[in-house]
Amino acid sequence: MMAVNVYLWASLKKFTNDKDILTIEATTIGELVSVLRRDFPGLKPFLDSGISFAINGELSNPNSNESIPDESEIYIMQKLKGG
Amino acid sequence: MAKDDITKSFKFIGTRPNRPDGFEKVTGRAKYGADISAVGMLHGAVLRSPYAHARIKSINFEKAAKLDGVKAIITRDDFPKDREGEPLKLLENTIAGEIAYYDGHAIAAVAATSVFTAKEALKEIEVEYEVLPHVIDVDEAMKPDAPIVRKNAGDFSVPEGSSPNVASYIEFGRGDITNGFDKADIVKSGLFKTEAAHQGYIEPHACMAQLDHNGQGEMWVCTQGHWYIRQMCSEVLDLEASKLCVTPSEIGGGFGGKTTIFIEPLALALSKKSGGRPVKIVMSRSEVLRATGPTASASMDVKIGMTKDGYLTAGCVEFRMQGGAFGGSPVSEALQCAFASYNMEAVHHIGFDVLANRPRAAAYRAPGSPMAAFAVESLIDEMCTDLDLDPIDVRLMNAVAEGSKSSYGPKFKKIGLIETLEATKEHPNYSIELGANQGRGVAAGYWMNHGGETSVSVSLAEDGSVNVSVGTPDIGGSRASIALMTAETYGIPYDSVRVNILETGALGFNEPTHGSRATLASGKAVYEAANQTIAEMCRRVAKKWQIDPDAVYWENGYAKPAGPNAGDFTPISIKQIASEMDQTGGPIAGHHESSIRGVGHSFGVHIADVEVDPETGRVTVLRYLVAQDAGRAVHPSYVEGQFQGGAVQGIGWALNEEYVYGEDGCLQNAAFLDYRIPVASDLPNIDTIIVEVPNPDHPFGVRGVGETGIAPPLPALANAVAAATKVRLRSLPMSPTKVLKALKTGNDGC
Repeated sequence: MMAVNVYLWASLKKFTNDKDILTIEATTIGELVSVLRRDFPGLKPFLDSGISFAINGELSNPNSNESIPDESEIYIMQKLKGG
Repeated sequence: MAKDDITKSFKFIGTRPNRPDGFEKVTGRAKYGADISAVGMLHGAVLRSPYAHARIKSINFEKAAKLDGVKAIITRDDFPKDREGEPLKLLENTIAGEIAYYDGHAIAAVAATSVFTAKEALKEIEVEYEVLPHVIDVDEAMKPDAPIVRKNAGDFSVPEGSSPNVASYIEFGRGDITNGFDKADIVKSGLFKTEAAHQGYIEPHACMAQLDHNGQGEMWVCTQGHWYIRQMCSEVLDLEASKLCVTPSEIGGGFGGKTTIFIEPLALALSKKSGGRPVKIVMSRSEVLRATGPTASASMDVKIGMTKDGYLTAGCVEFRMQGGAFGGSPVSEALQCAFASYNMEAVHHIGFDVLANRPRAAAYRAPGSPMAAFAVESLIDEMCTDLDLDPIDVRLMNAVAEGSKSSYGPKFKKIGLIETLEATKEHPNYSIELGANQGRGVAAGYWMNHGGETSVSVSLAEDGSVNVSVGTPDIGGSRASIALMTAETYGIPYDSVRVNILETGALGFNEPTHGSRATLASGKAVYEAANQTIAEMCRRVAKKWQIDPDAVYWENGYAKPAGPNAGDFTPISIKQIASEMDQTGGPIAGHHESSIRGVGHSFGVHIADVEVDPETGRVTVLRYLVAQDAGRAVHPSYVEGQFQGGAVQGIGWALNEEYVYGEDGCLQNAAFLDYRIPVASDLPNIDTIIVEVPNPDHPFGVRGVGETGIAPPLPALANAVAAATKVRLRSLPMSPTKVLKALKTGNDGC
């Protein structure tokens, strides 16, 4: 299984052993979120609060079935509120 | 102007046909929220708190219930008691429980046979309040001894030791900030403030709802997103979502303010209590201003480093935004937008979402971006002035481009900020000579845009015309743009396409028309659905010609043989194919459902010229220019309208609009007479430049265009006023009183 770099905002570091870049083994967004929930339970309220992803610069709603391309750069952000 | 990497030449896209909804609107036939009625309908009215913060000790509605014509009265007791999380916040904001959290908070509601009777009944409801201490200002709310708005309101993100009114906290950044400031020749910082501003949609909220005892109901609502209305009402009232059918009316403006619920659960609950009779509620303007969601007020610290040549070396922001009594300010989006226009090695962002005794903030056009732009673009302008640098050249030197890492992390795909800056610099407005007391301001703005959950269908009518069904209410011309993209896809006339906005039972889930997404997302989905029907038409024609389906292709409304090897066949029109549908396999329709990807980030640059009257402090906008990358302007008139509309709202926010609270915490200007939105006579001609750097991830190159235009006006006008007066105002609005004070004392307004 490949490893991808997941970038979190610094205010979440307190839940991830002071790291804002995590290397996670996952092939889909669903797997990625499962690993985050398992390894960093403190992130649960953030993950449940409504999030969006940027995968290689592409902003989107979370899709647990979405495949993660090799060497992806993934940012997890709060869900966008548009007007 | 177009930088066209998409090689298609278009027949319909880029033209300016009449809007499909124009005739109904100018003749008064279009049905808005308040125009809906039904047999046996009752009228609802809402009793609202006269206090900013008060405990509700008792509610007695015995006298009101005895009035002839009163059919139902509801309080919080008529709603589920087991809600939690976001549904509880929605319920609390819809109708108060033990505490009224702001002036205008709903306390009870009445349904009666007339509006008059319903309002009379409100006067007979006796409420005993215990007034509690309140807090209105965001910086006051951050103080350790501030009145606590709601206990235990902070979420998982709030650092220990924060004010109890901090609802959430965000921090992110990159690079070595200290080193970045060390590299700078000039480092400047400042405090900037903006007041809450309302979306100012002309149509007040209105709905009619009917709910049976078994939980089956219907609702007609003026909304930007009827699936959101269904979802939120279902969560608040504990209904099964599929049993509630929500139909959107025409909409007289929304700008983000109509993406959530206010009166809708009240109308449903009143209907249920009155035995299932339909209940209509129409808000007054005063209710809209007191009890719906404006955007947040903001207090913002900014620090920026710049070399003497104009390169940005580092930037820090701390934004504090109050989002009302239940949180929800757009501080996260504001931080993402703050430095998004610029390549900077070191950036650091901190944000606080703060509670106050005000109505819950709702989205407002590019939520958060205008405040962020005001703070950052004002400070950059100050530095350009200090260093005698051209403000457009400085922005060009630092502008992000394809492959740049955004200030909030992800890399940008193809974007058009540089092209937009270049177009702005070349425009005649930038070189017009100015007179005494006149000044020119430049500012850039950014919005990330959104795709979102989308479901559409497309069907062929028997005469070859096309019905398109979407779930995104048309608030800015999406019916016209979707019809144009459909016409382009089929190669049929624009007038042969009708776009319908369907109710919640007719399509899969659709996010609202928000995030500048309707033309981008529904258009992309319709393109996919239309191509399904084209493939089916080609298959049917292939069967008729007894050739392989791959040997048939579609062009300009006809199925054609793909080449000499396919055979010598006369092309068959969509009309003929449609007329034979019943004999070739039945109806032809397509559909598409997905979370739409491929949004194109959006940048805009504005130039404002103003004249400041030194005797009165009045700011007159002399001329105004909006340049923005639209990706592809599907219907240029609508795109120009979006640019101009954003500019007008930004001008209002910069110069006049603000929520004014008294010492009692009650809103003092809850009417358009006192809450001063711009009118036509306040405004100059607003020139537009549509820059087209096509979005490579959209079949027609579209980027969302609706929101970005409201971000640059706030700093552009502040920069223009500073240029005209040599006094910098760091607090909005720049009302005559504030400008005059600044002229006399040099006070920046903070």
